[in-house]
Amino acid sequence: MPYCPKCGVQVETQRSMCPLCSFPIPNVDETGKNDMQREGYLLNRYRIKQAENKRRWKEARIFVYMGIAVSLMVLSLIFGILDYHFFGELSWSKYVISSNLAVVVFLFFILRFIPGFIPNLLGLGIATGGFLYIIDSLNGTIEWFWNLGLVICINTMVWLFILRLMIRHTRRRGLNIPAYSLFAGAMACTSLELIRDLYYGVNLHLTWSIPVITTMVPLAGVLLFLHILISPSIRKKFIRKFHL
Amino acid sequence: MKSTIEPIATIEPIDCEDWHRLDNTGKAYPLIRSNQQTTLFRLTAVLTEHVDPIRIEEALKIILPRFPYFQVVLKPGFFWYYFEKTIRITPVQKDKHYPCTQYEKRWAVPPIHIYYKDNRLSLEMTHALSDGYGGTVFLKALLNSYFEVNSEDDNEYNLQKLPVKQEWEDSCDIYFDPSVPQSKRGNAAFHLPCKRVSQGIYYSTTGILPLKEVLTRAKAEGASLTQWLSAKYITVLTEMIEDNNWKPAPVVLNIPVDLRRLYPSKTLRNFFVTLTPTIDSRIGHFSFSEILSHVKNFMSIQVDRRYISQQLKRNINLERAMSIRMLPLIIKRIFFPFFFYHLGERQYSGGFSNLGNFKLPLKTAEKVKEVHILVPPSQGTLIKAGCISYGSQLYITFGSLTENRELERKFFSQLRKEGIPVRIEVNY
Repeated sequence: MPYCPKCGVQVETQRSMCPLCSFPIPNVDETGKNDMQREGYLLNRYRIKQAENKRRWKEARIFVYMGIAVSLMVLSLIFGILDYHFFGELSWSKYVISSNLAVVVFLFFILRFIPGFIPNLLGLGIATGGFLYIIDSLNGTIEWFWNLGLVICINTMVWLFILRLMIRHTRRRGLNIPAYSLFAGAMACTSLELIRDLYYGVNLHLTWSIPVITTMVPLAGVLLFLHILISPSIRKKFIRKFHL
Repeated sequence: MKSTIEPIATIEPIDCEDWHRLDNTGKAYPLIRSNQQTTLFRLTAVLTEHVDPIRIEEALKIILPRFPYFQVVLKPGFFWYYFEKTIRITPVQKDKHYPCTQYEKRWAVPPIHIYYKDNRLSLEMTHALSDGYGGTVFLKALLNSYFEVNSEDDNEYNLQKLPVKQEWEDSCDIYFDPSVPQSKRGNAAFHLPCKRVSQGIYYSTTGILPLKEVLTRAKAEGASLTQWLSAKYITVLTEMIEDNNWKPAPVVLNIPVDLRRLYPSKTLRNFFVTLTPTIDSRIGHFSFSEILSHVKNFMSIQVDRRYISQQLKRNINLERAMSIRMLPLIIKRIFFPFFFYHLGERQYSGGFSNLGNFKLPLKTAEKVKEVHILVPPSQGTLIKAGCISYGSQLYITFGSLTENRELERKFFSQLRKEGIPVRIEVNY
């Protein structure tokens, strides 16, 4: 059995590198019975369980979705029949039926039957837009969909997309993730208020979004600062520059 | 030989209560169980022939009536976990995963697992059920039964004798002295600043050394095997702090002491306390001989019933405090890992368990080549070691939750520098 030239321990014959110090082990041609049993590749129980749970969830989610979708369809049908029976037309049930339909479509994208974040985000955006259009058109005229509903929908999708980009391109994940989320939330609220002012044709002014910005942005800053401080490399540079 | 695993067999345990409480030490372990801190330790016997799983199952059926308190499942109560009698026998499984990583969230958790691979037979046991001594007794009985050898010595755990209630008593409860003041809490110790591996992985590095040479070196310096190896361990940790320019802190080693040598207990449940020799690297450099001198003096003073009883008092007080007892289990599960770390693992840098000499009857010993011990994984200290001697060899195994091998490398290199030949077996 060969020895490691660096640390001097005897290692298994099949080894090309010392398991303790990674020093190359010279190839020694030894005769005689080798009774050392190398463990070989060991399986990670936790990863196997995780993969198994993921597979089970993927198989189960179709049943979950079909169950919820069928229940909502049946409920919609019942409400439609009741509404028509009592009022002779679809009045209040129009809103319930369109909401149930929207939930079925939303669930399809939330349960990620289509792989990838962007397709699901786009799908949710289109579904939201479609739902808002239907809600606005139920009373016979399109009043607020194009100038308000669609704009809010696009605004929300844009900020979610920006947040996703920031998280995706961050090298080290930690407190910076909630910091980015808080910042994106504050910006989305601010733009919501500005969209509302544009719709009503009033001067641009912020009311409820000011307390939102003044709490979320500084908190995001603190979390980001803590995240940077905790980073070992930046901490070293900081101490080097600012040591007393 | 192709192995077939039979469906789980059933066998009626004799003369044992339907359920029993966990012992004082064992109560903590199910509360801190997680994917990475499974509380399982492993004893492995390397045989001269391939392991037959069917024979193992037959051997289990023979020995389990002798140890009915091991034929249990761990179940959650409202305030504490408890063990419930079962008629199921632990299935024998092929060993293909990392050791000591079995973690189940289900209702009834078996505390013992048996694995086999080629010529290796492994017994994994949770510390909630028993300590290393209990594990070695069970493994000996299993091996004797596997090789159909009647133990000829007058061992009280002989298969021919009936189990007695003293074998599952909580000896900590019996031998603790309420009149002594409890021991004081320690301060924060040095912890290796290494990154933990992902869940499901546990590395083991076993060094195989000639026992006689190690004993000779230890005796030459007037120390026991445990004292000498512990001093080596502490020396390596202090050297690592100096070499890597880590922030100096007290280096504390956790050394379990089997209390069956001090008290007349026959229990096979947990019955140990831990001693913590300390070297403070903040106050300067210590040579190996200085560290050994400190460890020898510390252990010769502390291995005394009077000091031990202080530790027992502290452990019992923690268990019996009404504020802890009245908390529902679900709350304990959330907060206990935090307290376990702060009142326990935070106070030591590593652990070293010496299980002593593993003796087998001659007929069994002819068929068993090696015996290894792997201590439970520890999230706090990352690396811990255990050692056991069998025949003329000493087996020291480091269990590690990190990719860093510096401690193992330095430890075994130190032994090589003493002129002791070391053979390494690893699972990575």
